[in-house]
Amino acid sequence: MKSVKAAIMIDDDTSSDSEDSESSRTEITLLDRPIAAKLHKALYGSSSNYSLGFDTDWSPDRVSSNPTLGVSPFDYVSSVQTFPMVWSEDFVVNEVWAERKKGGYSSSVVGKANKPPLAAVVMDMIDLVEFLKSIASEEPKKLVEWTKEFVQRTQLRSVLISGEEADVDWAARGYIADMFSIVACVSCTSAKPPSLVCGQDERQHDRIPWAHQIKLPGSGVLLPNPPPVSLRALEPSNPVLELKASYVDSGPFKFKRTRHLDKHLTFNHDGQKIRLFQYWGSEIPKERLPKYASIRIYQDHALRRFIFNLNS
Amino acid sequence: MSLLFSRDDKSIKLAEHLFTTGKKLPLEFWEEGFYVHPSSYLADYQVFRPHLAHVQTRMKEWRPAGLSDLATKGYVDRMGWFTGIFGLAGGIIGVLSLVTSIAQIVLAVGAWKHPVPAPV
Repeated sequence: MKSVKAAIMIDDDTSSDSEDSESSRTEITLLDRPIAAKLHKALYGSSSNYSLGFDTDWSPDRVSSNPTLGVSPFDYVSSVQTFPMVWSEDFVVNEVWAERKKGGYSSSVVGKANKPPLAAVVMDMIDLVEFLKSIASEEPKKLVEWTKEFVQRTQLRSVLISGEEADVDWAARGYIADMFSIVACVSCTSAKPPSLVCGQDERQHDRIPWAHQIKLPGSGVLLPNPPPVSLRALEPSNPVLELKASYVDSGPFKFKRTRHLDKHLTFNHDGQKIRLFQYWGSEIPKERLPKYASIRIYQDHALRRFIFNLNS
Repeated sequence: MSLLFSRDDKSIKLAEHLFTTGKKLPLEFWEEGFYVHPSSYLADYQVFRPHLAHVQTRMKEWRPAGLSDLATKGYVDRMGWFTGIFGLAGGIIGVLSLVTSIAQIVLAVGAWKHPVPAPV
């Protein structure tokens, strides 16, 4: 690790429909750049053209020779693809390493006094991405079953568990499920980073943990609560020709835009407006990260087809 | 989005009004990876199939809940709604003509009973 400081995301604006704006971290933790680059490569292959931002041997000369990539050695380039790296750093500092008065974070999995290094956590995350890629064409199963299989199959670097069923189960639905939230970019259309609370010790005895509720491959990660409809209404042979905006608008229902993907094509509280997800926003700022990761994060994302459950 | 907005000019105008407050839609609206040519069946919408089916169901099940809703066109049996509105308009015209006829009769009877002397 090159340099470590405390990492805190300062941006906690929850306004849902405001325009994108820039945000910055007041303090940062720097993940070793080659490891950050590995995580990036696992998620996005070689689609990116900003590798300089991940170079370990950064020097002012190198930036001045390529001023369009004017990135300081202490932050990432401005691209939605760097959000998983930022979230990983924040996950380790704010959760894995956190010292809480009341309950810790997966203390029986990652240790209580001695915590795993940032690099070990991220290397396990990379293994998780590779594992998820390898099961992309399998039959859908609950996330917790996949994560359990991952824990059993992989030699993890950041955990201390003995291999007992109870430990494996807790790691799978807590710590690894949180890792999954990062690599799958869960709630990327929200103004907040993914909620990484599955592994908190106080949640160890949750009756229905999140990882038990969704199946993969499947779109339940991004659209957790599909509206209830009859099987007859779901018939694939049902025509959808009347779903034309002008026709819908000519009747009692009107449209309203939303910035939250999970609310796309759902009705608002009074049941009269259909919310439509606006997947584009303002330009990505040149120097700093945008406030929202946005749906653009899935462009070239390795797990895109897996979490959208696209067969073709 | 393409299912909703790409099939007629009125829908495109609606999208412009909704997303860009009247300006031209950004290229991303049309070029985004999620854009597909709209097809005619639910089978082609894997991710949002329950959502589309839900909207369809709500559209089919909508009924006026009060007097004010009577003026709103539903999505089912629009012919019935037009017939109803036409009938209502006919009824109002009928009632008005009846009132006018009664007023005419009253005035005629008044004029018969109290004839105005012809000017000399």
